[in-house]
Order: sequence, then structure tokens, then C-alpha cells
Amino acid sequence: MTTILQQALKSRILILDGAMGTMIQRHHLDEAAYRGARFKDWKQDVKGNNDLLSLTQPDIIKDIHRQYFAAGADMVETNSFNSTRVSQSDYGMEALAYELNQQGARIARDVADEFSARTPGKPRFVVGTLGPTSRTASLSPDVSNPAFRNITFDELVENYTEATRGLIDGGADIIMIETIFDTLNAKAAIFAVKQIFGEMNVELPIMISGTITDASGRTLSGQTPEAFWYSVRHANPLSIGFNCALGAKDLRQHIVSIAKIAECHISAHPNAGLPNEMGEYDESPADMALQLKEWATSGLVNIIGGCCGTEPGHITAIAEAVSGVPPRRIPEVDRHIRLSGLEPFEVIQQ
Amino acid sequence: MKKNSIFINIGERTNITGSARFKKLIMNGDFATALDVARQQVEAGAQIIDINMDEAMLDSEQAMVTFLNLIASEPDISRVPVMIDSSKWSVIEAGLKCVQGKAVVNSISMKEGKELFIHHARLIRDYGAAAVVMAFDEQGQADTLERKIEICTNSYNILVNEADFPPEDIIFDPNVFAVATGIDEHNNYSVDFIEATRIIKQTLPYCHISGGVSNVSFSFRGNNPVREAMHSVFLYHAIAAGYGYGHCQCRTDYGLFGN
Repeated sequence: MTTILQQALKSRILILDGAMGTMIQRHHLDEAAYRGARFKDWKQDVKGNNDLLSLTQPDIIKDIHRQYFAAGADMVETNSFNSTRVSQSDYGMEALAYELNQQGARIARDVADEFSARTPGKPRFVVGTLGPTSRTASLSPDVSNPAFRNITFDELVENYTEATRGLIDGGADIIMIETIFDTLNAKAAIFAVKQIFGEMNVELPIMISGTITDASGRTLSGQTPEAFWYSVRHANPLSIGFNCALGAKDLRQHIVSIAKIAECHISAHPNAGLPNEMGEYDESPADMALQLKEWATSGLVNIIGGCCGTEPGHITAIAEAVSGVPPRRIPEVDRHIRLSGLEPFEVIQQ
Repeated sequence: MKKNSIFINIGERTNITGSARFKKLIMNGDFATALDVARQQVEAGAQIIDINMDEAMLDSEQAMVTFLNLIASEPDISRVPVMIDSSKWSVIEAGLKCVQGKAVVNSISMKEGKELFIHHARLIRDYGAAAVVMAFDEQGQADTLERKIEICTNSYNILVNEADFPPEDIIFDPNVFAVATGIDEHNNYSVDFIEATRIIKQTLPYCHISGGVSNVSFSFRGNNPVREAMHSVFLYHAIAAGYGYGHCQCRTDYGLFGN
């Protein structure tokens, strides 16, 4: 599968799906629907635990994957953004972490296989998603004690190891560490993924996608795009990129920054613009596609899709807009040491 | 100074083994003032800050974690990479789990055998850091030119071929030793270091060279003009040979590189 993926990436820009949450919201599911039969007597409310729907409403999740594949996506992301122990603890569902990942990947696998069988010339891929969790390993939640942390690197490694094992067992083709707002969390995820690959004797491509929080042009944990790349480059990823928080207009400059220096593919899945006063994302498919087409023709991207507020309509428009545009060519990058704090530090010896 | 060489200024005032003041602050639990030391180093031009908490009377792991966590909350300090410096692996590993950036580990070596060396190197790679590699093996520390070359070459081949460690992330420390100690065998130590630097740079692609400059003049402690002159001469030749990373200014408080 990895070879097929590499070949596809050489020939065209691959299309990632759009938002999962936005699509789930359309169903206006109530508490009972989230619980399903299996969790009808659960001790606390679970409405809003979207990942749980992989177990209780698998047909809804399958249908969302189907809509995105039908819209032209080459790859869909598993419904596992919050399927770690630490994130599931909000619902008392820590014990389900493995199953949520495994089932989330299984559902996407089934739908991907269904589409690949229909159009063998266009193989479809399952991207197993590892979200950032609800904690930050390099920021203190306690203003009066800046040395305090409410999660450790080791705890994150345990969380991500379990999640990754589920994603692999469920049939994911790729592991994506995404919406990274704290690079230390992502480094724990990389560490876990590498360890589990070794243990299970498999090696899947890794996609890494950070989040530039706002106009500061930095991650929440304070890194510039270049410093972020240097911090995760050891993962030897299939792709590096950014998603969420910003729309295409504001994200472009950060994609430019890493597209110049990264010797791997570039991915981007921006939001459908910035939220309006109602907190809704309202950039139209045509507006978003027009901007992303310019990214493609400027040679900035290899994998492109949407994050918050994007729907199948956006994916169709984006897929059409970049169709036939050659993918970004991976630049030759000099071999030299690259360190980082919040900012990049290079030692160039010519 | 040759055009193709770059000297990097590493701040060492946050090294408990080299700074009496920093040691006192940490031993007294005065992390706030210790943070000021780190900040002043960055303001003064340190491009990397070396953090060392090796002290028998201290919980070094805890001190390393606390200090790195505090640094992470100070953007004017954490903008630069850190060098996690300890002779204990447990302290290094505890430190690696606290930094979001790409740090440098100081140091690993083949002192305790090849197996442990590979194990540590792989972990450092997976934590996403570079490493200073001491010219040290089970037979001891490399003193002569031959031993420096032998150990560095051996280490390089193991790192690159067996540990899958990126060669550009290797910073060799071929050991700067004191000259003019009164023992004849020591007199050639600086020349050996400089020659080793030249050969390592030629034969082991993409790696870097580091070393504690102030060691060279240790016999003249108390006589700063002589030490400064020796450092200048030593650095002139070492940098021309390809030396890149120096722990110089702060360990001796000379401010040789101006700051």
C-alpha cells in the first residue's frame, strides 16, 4: 500500500477529506443516539463524544466517509481524533480507547476498500488520526506554578501507543499526528508510533500536521513553522503540514515557509475561513477552492483537504480545482544540523 | 578564520559543575534567579544554552525537569535550543522528555560498551535530538591523535550504520586537554586535538566538532592574560581545522567571545 501511495503522490496532488465534526453535527444526534444500545445506562453524559459514534452509530460514520470518497477524496481520516485515554476520560470511557481507534480504522477501511474496488485506478487510503489530546506537555495550566504539567511525556507515549496499536489493527494505511498545538505532545506521539512500529514489525507512513494558532504565526506552544519542522523532522515523515485554526488565506504564508525547507511532502487542510460572529465557518467551496488552486499552481502542496467547516462540497470543489496541476516537487535540502527552541537554529557549513 | 567554519557560542553559566553561582542558586532552590542566569546568557548572545545539574547532593533528574519546564515558560529563553548536559543517562532522558525543540544531548560515548551506546543513540534519535559524542571507549579517554581518530571513526560508523543516527546530528568532542602541565607527554595535546579535528572533518561527512576550550590553559589558572592568549591561538587553529562548537566563555568567565 505504501508503494501505491508513493506512486500516487508522484503523479498528482492527493485529496484529503473535510471535517468530521461538521458532518456529524448535521445529524442533530441526541444523548440517546450517542449512547446507542450498548451504553444506554452509562454513568455520565456522552453527547459530544463524536468518536464514540464509531461504536454506536457506525453507519453514520461510514456514510460520512462515503460522501467524502464520492466527493473525490483519495484519503479519509478515521473518526479517532479524541480516542486517547486522556481525552476519553472526560466521558469516563478511558477503557474504550483501543476499541475506538480499532473500530474507527475498521469502518474507514471498509469504505475505502469498497471505493478502491469500484475504481481500481484510484486507490483510496485510510489515514489513522492521532489528535493532540486535551492536555499540553510543555505548558503549565497553573499560572502560579509555571513548572507544573498536568501530563507527562511518558503518559502521552502510553496514550498514543495504545491508540496507534488500535489504528494499525483496524487497518489504517497511514498514521497522522495532527492539529498539533504543542510540539512536545507530537514528539511523544512520534516516539510512541516509532516504538509500536518496532514492536509490531510494521512501518506505516507518518503524516504530521501542526496548527498555527493565530496571527502570531506560531503554534500555541510558541514555535515558528520552521522550528516546528526541525522538532519533528526525526520522524522522517511522509508529509509535514498545517491544519485547523486558520483559513486558506492566513495559512498560506506558513505553508510557504515549510514548503521551502522540508524534504518530504507538504500537506494542508485549512478551515473554511475564519469563524463568523456565530462561530460558524462560512467560506464557500468555490472561494476556498480558488485559493487552494493558487497554492497548487504555485507548487506548494502535495496533499490537500479541509478542516473545520469544510464539507463534501468543498472537497469536490478543491479536487476539481487542483485536478491536473502537478504536485509540489520535493526540494533538495542540504544536509546539516538543524536545532530548534521556539525558533530555528541552523549551522550551515559550506 | 576560514570561511567554511562557524563557531557556535554555547552558554555554560547554567552548568552547575562550572558555575559556582548557578550551583548555589539551584542548591538553595532559587530557580527564579537561576532563570535570570539563563536569560542573561541568551541576551548576551548564547546560541545554545547548556543545562547541567550534576551534583551528588541534588536530585539531578528533578532539577533538570523543573528547570527545563521553567525555561519552557519563558519565550525569551526558550527561543534558543538547549543542550541537555549530564554524565547520567537518566538525567539526560528526563530532560529529553521536557523539550519541544530539537535539543543537543551532552554526551554519549562508548565508555560503557557498544550495546549501550547504540541503545542510547537510538533513543536520542527517537526523542528528536542531536548528540555530543565523546572520544571515549572501554579502554578510556582518547588522548593521542591516533586514539582520537580511532574512537571517533568507530563511533561514527556504529552510529550511522547500526543505530541509523543522522551523521549531521553528531558533534564529536575529541577531548581538549591541558598542556604545559610539566609532563612532557602532555605538550602535544592541543596539536593532537587540532589535527584530529582536521582529519575527522575530512573523513567523517556532515559531523561537527566541539570541545571545552578553557581546558587547554588549565595549568595557568589565575593568570588570565596568558589563558586568554592561549585560547585565542588555540581557537584560531582549531576553527581553521573545522572546530565548530565551543564551551568557552562561560566556564571560565573570560568572555573570550566578547558577548
